[in-house]
Amino acid sequence: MKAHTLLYHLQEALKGFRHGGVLSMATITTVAISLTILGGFLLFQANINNWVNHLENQLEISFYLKDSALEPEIRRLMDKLENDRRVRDFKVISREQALLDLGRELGEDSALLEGLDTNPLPDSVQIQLKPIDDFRSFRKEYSKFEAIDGSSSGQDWVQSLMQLIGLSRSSGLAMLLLLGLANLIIIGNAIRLTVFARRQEIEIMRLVGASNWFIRAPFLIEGVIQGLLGALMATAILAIAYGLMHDRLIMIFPNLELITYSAELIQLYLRLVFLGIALGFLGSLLSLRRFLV
Amino acid sequence: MIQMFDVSKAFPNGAHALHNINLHIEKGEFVFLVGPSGAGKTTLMRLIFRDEVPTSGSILIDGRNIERLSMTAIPFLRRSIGVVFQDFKLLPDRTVAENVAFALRVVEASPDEISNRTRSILETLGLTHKMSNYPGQLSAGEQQRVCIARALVNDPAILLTDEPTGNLDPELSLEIMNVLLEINSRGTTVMVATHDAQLVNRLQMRVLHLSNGSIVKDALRGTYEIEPNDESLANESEIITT
Repeated sequence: MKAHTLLYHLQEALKGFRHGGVLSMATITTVAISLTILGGFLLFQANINNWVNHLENQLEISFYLKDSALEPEIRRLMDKLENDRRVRDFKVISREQALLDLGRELGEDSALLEGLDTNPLPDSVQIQLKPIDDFRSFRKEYSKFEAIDGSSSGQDWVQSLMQLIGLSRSSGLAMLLLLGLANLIIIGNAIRLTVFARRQEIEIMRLVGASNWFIRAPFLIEGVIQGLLGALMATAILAIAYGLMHDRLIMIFPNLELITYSAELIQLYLRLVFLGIALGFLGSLLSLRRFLV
Repeated sequence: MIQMFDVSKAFPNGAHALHNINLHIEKGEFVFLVGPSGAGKTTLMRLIFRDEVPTSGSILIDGRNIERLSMTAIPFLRRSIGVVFQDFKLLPDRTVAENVAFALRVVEASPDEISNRTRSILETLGLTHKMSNYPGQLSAGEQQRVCIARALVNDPAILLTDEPTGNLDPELSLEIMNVLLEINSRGTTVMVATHDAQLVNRLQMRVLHLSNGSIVKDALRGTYEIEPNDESLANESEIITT
């Protein structure tokens, strides 16, 4: 495409945009609303993912060792843990250390422990796991060791939760596709009105021998501008709303793992803007189809 | 230049617009396409610039079968054919100069070329003083001339005009016809669809007479005698268009 033609297309697109007036505004608003809903969903999902990652990284299990456990047996257990890829880190906690830790946890009530003649606590191995799919089978596998008496099972709920979240991730993808399609249809329809308003011009272009791409160009540029402005509006709405909600939620639930890291948010917003541009382009392309050749 | 072999056109609603048209128009000819409204004149023209495709038969423009043209080649065919529409098809929000320049923009002519050729064609058609006016500010005759200017600015090999004098008084009609003859004298093949018998008979050019979608007469120095059933239709259509 020649430079003066590109310049002409840009001028035409801006002119169409200005002449569009209310119609252009309606399209941008439609894009903004649809993308706000989509972006809100993306933010929700990103936060869920963030939370899951956080939980996954906190996976821990403790195995209690039998008092009667023999040295070679314990060594075998240590070797296996050392070479197990699922294990991030582990440490052996002696019964003495365990008693001290318990005393510290009990705080003022630690006086209770003074009544004990002997230390009732066993030696144990505290294991930090990498994110794994099957927490239960890991536990079962190690329970076979003679040296192991039992395990803390306090985090069984994490397993169920992770399965639930796996489900929500796959359904989230389906939801995302559905929302994306709905957006394309809504935006495509809004742009179709703009195209329809200028069908006479398109017809004349066609009849005087304009190539299909020549006819499309200003509309595609216009669609991209509309998509961009709509996406920027949606991003502004989401950024403000999320900022407000984030601060309130953190105040009420201090333990909630919300995304605060701004680079992550910026990436999400950039993706939304790109999506707006792509939808504007695609919407224009699709709505022009029946007016060409 | 324009050849049709057994061309028929039926529309999806069942209406038959053209039956077995065979014709041969040489380069540089001037042809009147006559017949009452509904005879198929407009359809025949739309087939030539491939706004429609025939249901059967084949059409050759400058030796090329235009049905076989690829999507990307169609615009190039249209650039070699100027069309003056019955309803002008001018863009109301653009000036006369912009409307004419539109046809040059499309072929990606350079800005200098656009301004020079637009100016020159508007001069030829006596529209220089109306350059900055909008179509709404022009008379029917002037709009007609803008439409002719736009059709000619690309220097097409063929000029198709559909009822170019349909909305004009006899004096203006003659003026437009003189413009078309002038263009033809420079080597452009010109086809004029009309049901203005007076005009056709005065100029004594080749006449193709269409009736109910068939060519009923093809005379080299022909006249147009309106048949009784033609006349009623012709009058009727005049009432509709005025």
